[in-house]
Amino acid sequence: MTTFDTALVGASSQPPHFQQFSNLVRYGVAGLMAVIGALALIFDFPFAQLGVFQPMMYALGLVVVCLVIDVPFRKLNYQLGMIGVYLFGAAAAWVAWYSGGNWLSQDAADFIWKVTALFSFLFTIAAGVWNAPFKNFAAKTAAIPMMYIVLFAFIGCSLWTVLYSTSDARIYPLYTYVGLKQYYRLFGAEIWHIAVKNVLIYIALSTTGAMVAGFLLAVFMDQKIRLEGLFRTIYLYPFALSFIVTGHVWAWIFSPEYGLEKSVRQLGWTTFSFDWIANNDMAIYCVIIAGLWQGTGLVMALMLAGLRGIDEEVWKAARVDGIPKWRTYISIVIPMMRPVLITTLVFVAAGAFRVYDIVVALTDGGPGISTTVPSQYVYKYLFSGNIGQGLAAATTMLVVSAVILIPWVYVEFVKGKQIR
Amino acid sequence: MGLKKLAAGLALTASLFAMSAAKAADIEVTHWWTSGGEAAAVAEFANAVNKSGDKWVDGAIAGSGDVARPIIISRILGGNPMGATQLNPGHDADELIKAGLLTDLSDLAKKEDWAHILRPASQLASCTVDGKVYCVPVNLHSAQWMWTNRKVFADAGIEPPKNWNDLVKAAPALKAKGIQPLAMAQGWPVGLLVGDLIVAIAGGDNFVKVYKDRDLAVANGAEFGKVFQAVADARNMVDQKAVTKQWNEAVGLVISGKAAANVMGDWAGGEFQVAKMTPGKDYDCLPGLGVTPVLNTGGDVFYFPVVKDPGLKAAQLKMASTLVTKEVQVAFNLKKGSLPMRADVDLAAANDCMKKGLEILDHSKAVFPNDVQMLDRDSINQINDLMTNFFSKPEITPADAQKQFADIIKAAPKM
Repeated sequence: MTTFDTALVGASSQPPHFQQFSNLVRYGVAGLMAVIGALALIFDFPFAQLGVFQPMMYALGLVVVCLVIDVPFRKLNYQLGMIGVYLFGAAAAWVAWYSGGNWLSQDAADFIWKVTALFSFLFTIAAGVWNAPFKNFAAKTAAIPMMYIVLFAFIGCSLWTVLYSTSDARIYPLYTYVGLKQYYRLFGAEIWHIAVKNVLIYIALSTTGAMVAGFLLAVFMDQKIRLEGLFRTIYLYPFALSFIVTGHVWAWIFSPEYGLEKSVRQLGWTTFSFDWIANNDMAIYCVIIAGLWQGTGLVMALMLAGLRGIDEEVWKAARVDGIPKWRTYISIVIPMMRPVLITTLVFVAAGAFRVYDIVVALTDGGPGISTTVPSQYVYKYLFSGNIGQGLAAATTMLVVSAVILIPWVYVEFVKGKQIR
Repeated sequence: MGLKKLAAGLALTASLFAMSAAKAADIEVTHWWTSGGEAAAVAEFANAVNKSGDKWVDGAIAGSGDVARPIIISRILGGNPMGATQLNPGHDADELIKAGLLTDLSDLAKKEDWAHILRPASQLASCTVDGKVYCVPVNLHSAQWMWTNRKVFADAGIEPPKNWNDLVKAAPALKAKGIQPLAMAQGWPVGLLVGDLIVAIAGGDNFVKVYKDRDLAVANGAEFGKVFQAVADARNMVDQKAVTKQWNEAVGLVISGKAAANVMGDWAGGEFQVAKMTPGKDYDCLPGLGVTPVLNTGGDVFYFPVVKDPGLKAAQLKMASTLVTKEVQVAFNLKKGSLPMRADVDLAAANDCMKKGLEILDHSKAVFPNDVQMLDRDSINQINDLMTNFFSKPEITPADAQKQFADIIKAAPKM
């Protein structure tokens, strides 16, 4: 019919789940895209809103659209053409930026870039619909937001982070390659060493603490006690508070001026001393106590669900065999709960690794800098004058968590499946 | 029925249009003036802007400059600029200016002759990049002040200190009475104290030599060695259990008499004023910590991000002009405890502290630039981290701290 659907073979040779849109839809979508394009050019939307992320959004848009409408595999030629058009515009923008507007003025490049990006993006959608049939249209359309988030936020931004950690970007993210300079400074900074030490202590103590306490609470709750609902609510309640609130409340409790120390002294024990929060070496344990208070309830809820998932028959069999209760828990129930335990562990450990808000609210890194944690370091540098340094710290955190998580994902999901 | 609905719909549409028309001159202003005295002062700005026909939409960010600055900068960078924002004069906005994100105010500055009506010249120079003016300075702040509560000393039977050294001498007696000799807040106030001690002990010239000219011989030298020894003295005076989180809480300790003294910039004067205390009678303010009466020229400026809406653009220029008018300058600075940018205003209502400051500003050569005007924010953050660490850990020796300080100065990029 038109030039770009001539290669389509007749409907008879398509698998049955392929469908062709009616002419109404085809003209409708093509028209709509043309209108959107015109409006976007007239009103300059969404260019102004996207800021520094424009090029990435559009490149990703193109990829997503290609995936959804399956065109690359069917209509390779014009699809490549569209990508070519897009790249031409991107190249123009880059040339102008690189030459500081000398070889090509910023405004001209901007215009070329907008027109080509819009054209390739909208034309690909319109042509895709025009050229239906394609496979699983509804499912893929529904997946568009997820594809965007994965490609843009998770993969795209992570790559950007790694790339810019090798730059000396300060307030504004301009790229000038400086190699590993940011990393040398990072690993030489005393505050970073303190932060790493703190987060290791925090992870070790808060995961083991929360797991053990949470499990014991869950076992206690599983003894068919009275008022279970009430207790469950009480234990889970701290989790409903934000870390900021938790941090501030505990800051009052720990404060020697107003909190526990003063109350006990007023009760008559005048030599009582509890000033961990003002002590360089002990303040991090205050953070851990507050974190445990908040996080244990969730662990308990998860563990309780795991315990309830154990078949009553298992307990009956153990009772018939005369196995004591504690032994049943340790040798039978805990091994059976392995999936719940592992999931909870990953949850809690990941939460501990990125700990930030409770430190800010409770100690704000103090006294001095003794309770600083890595995420605080990242934030501090990212937004106050040294983006490169902040991103180097962020990249280091990313690499460390990947080193821990990837083997776990492999064992749990890939290898496990193969065995089963 | 149908007609009624139609009429209601039309009315709604009309009101929406009316709202969007009024919105054209709404100007969102971000700042971090949230303590008692600061809030009272910023209300004067808001009134003046509202009177000029635009609407001040307050965007106060609680915390401190360290909290607000990242938020402000990332909003401008992210393409969601406010109408106007407070920042400090210095190099914080340099890259934003280079990226073309801030409005050029040169025409307005020329028209109103800012170069002559605003003093000292260093403030407008901080706003000027490549000959163009990008911000409007609204006040002068100096960081070199020691604040003492006279009643505390009278009760303890000690002569109120005239300078830092007197305070160090009085410290044991105060401690014996259960009073903190020096109230401190954590974070940047520690850096401020150290900066003040540098100026008071090593002298303003050496301060500029190190911060601006990056003279490592001075940074490693004996004069600075004395400074770090003094910081160690201060470390002993401060009750580590009572270190507060915010600067105004530390000032509050002095006001309430729980602490004898605090070192803080002249913005602390606003807090004393809110507490209805009189300088010379209830409290003393000692410029240059009483050792050497010198002041630096920090302060606050307003930047206006580039926006598309022409209505807002006009409102921005109108606001810039309003902020430096005589009446607004007087009303704002009296409440803020800072010094006005204009020399031609009537400050009869000023309190003794402000008059002391004006005296030094107008008749003395002992005025020098602020650290932010000489060093980049990244290096200042590193110095603050070093000082807070040094301050909270008695095991770090003054010599160690001095060496690390010199390393930061050495690595700082040239401005």
